[in-house]
Amino acid sequence: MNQVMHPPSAEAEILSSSQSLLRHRLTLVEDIWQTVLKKECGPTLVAHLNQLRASRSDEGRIANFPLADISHLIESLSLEDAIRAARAFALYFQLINSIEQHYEQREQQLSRRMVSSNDTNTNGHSSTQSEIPPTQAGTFDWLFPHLKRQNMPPQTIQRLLNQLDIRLVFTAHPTEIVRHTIRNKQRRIAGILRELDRTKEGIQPLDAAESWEVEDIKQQLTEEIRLWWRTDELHQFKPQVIDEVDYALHYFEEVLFDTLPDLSIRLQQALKSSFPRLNSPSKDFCNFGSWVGGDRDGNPSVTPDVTWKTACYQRGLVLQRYIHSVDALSDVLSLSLHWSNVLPDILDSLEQEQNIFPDIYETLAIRYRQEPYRLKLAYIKRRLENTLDRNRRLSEMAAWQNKVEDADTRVYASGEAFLADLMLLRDSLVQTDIHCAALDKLICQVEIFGFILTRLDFRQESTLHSDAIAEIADYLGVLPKPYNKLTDAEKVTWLVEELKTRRPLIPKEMDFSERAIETIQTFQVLRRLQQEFGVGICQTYIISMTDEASDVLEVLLLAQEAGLYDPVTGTTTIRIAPLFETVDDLRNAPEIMQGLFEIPLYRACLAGGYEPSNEGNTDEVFGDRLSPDLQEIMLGYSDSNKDSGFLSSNWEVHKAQKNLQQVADPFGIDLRIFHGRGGSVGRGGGPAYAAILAQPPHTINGRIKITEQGEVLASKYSLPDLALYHLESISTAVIQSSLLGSGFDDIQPWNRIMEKLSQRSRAAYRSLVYEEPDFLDFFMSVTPLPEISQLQISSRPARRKKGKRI
Amino acid sequence: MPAWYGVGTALQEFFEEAPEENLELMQYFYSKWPFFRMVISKVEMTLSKVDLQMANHYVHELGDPADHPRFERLLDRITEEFNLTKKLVLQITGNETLLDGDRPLQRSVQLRNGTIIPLGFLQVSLLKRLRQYTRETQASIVHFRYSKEELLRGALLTINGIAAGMRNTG
Repeated sequence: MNQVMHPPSAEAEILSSSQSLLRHRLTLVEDIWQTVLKKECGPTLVAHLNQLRASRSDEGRIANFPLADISHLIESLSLEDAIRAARAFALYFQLINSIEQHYEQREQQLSRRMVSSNDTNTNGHSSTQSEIPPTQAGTFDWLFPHLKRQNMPPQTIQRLLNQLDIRLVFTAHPTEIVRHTIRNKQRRIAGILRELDRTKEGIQPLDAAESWEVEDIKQQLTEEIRLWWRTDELHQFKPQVIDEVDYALHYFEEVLFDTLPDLSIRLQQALKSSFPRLNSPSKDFCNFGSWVGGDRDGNPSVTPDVTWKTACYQRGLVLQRYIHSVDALSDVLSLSLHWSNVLPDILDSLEQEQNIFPDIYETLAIRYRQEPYRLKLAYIKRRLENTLDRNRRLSEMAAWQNKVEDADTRVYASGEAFLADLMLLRDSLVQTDIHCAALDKLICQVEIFGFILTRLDFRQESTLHSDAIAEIADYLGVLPKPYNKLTDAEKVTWLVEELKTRRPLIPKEMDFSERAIETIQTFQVLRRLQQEFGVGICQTYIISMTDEASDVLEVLLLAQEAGLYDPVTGTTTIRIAPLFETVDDLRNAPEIMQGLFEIPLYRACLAGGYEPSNEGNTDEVFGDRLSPDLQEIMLGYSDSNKDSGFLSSNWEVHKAQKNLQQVADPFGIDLRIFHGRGGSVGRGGGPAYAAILAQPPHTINGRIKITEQGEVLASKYSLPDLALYHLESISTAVIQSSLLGSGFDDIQPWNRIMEKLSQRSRAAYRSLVYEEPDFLDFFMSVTPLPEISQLQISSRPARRKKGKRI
Repeated sequence: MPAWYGVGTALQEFFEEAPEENLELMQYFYSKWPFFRMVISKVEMTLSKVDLQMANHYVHELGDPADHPRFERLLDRITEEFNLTKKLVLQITGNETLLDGDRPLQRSVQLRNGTIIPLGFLQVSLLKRLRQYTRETQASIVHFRYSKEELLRGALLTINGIAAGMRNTG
């Protein structure tokens, strides 16, 4: 992409040596792959495989080999051999994916090191105004000096940093449920590759004779791959939602738990060196959410019980991490009163703890008599363990229906309480001139992850809400005709009236359909989750298939019934986010939102109540900056891609964003656009940095929310440095795009040309996919789609039932 | 789903209005307008993974022979649009082959294509056997050596394998 800039020669050299190393490793692994297969399947099959792979031409297309011969060869394979061959090729891809990731990360590390050493020599003066040297693109070390050169006013930067809020949301994907077993194999192979790098690097040129050490490593690699070959790559059962939760959370355990604090530090350092007087953004300026266990749309197995269990599972995971960290701290903070002062606050707190945990005092008071930090940590640890025990009890299915328990001083009620204890330690250390990096990191982690780990979004289809309300209205006999027969305007009028009174609509004994009861209970569990975990655990409620203003008010009414909206104060603890997916819906979105913003009750609810004073709904919510006057709107790429092709889809999303912003501006409402990007390009995926820079400039303002689809998690979040790089480039793009919009989006003649191109490509696309009578037949019989829907690879049915849409 | 379909036609129609001028304009868009550049890059990335000969093979092996004429006609349409789109996208980016502007990705795609192809052949063969099984056991003609589960497992392996090979497209 950056043909214009040529990297300086030292850089080129390192990159090219890195390239040749990559090639070398690919060859090495391919050799080992062959060796393993020969051992495991015999030479005949391997010969067949090689014959098949030789069938490509140089450009990687079929050419050299007559088609009929290949077909014949494959038809002649027995099923066992065909399956073996498929496994062998799949394994090959897994291996080269691992290697590519590993070397991508390595290149990343090298170029960072180089850029920082270059910077000290040349003052980083190599770039012209618009071109970014390839190795620096998307890094904070490029961004802040660049802003400085552009004379960006520091107050403007500060304002943006204060509201910087980047949310990435994990979603489940059926084909990506890799077993832990397989992932561990991948990690072990990455480990062996690292060792190989260490032995060869700098010691000898690549093709020199190999040492016994290298031979030994190759041997390990071979054995590891043989074990892998003999392991089932797929689960032998249909995965449950909780397996999918486990899969997605794995990236927190392995990578994000450490990476997010590093990201915050990296930004802080880069900011300080260009703008020493500016304050860093909040530590969780980049944070994660999850749909796994909360997204119900089309997946009947995501029940209230499952969501509850998911939240408990997440809390269990962070608590265990914290317990480990506290153990490690106890090793470090061995300061003795003989040699160090402490603040009296610590001693006071120890006195209180003595009454709460007399048993700990009895066993440890003597040992730690002179070591107050350790004693305090022992109390902290016990309280974490108690919290974990309580969490285990609560995680039982249906426990959410139990009454709220009374407060107990032997457990932590929330992440803030734990954080307060840690701050006590830090204050005392800082006052006595000690800085403990491990404690700082733990504090940063607690600030980011709390006892929540990650926010859970809810999503449900709009028809479920209107059906439930129709049943309720019917039961109460309050409407002259069935609710679903009303026009949108009539619905809105009635809903607004109901939203003005605290009088409940839903009777205690619910004589409704199972579906309606579950819809109602979904709001009850949401309420209970907020009570137990804090409002931050789940706030966003997404409505799919939104096409009327009443779709949004229905959700507000159901929320009111569960105690999530108070009609008297006009305050709510949820954010309702309509999702617009098809091209038609995207076009109607601004009008629908305009209608909503004009309803005083809805506008007040966005403002944080009728009297947006400082009561209740301001900033105290843990782990979430609940800023008022913010409307979240989700835009889907997948459906618009399917209905109009991707030029038109991208253009319609682009336009919808601009139009929505125009509608929101006069009301003084900020938007958070939630981009429902698929993993594959055809579903809105692709490189994130370029995609964010391509957004209309006035629509980001430091806020963005993006889905990270299950199928691409592995390639972005398996290795810490790659994950960090990915997050850094997203953050850079968001800041860059918010502050330095290109201005090209506002050129009217360009927009007209784009509009014409979009219409023409849409017409051509639809003439094939929708107007060609044979297309559906064609698609179903020549792709594996029918088979995919039969496979038990996800907790969700393969095709969402959405009527006639493809 | 060929979401790229239609891009070529749209560009072609636009170029016909003023061939040189409009091509230059598109090139200018591409170099200046991040939105346009992103869209064209995505088209390019997707096209680089399209293999029409392979598609042809799927049609011939998996489609009912009676359907071949009508399916081939569709495939011809798709092929024509593919060639047109590719030609025009290359004119806009000024590259000789797809992904010239992103060598590492280009290499990675080429490296994979060599193995994607045979895996595609395997998929076709396994799907064929599976569909044959479904048809013939429904009509209870023959008893098969393999169970449906085994056949499904084979098909799933090829699907996962191809997904691993394609990475961000699909």
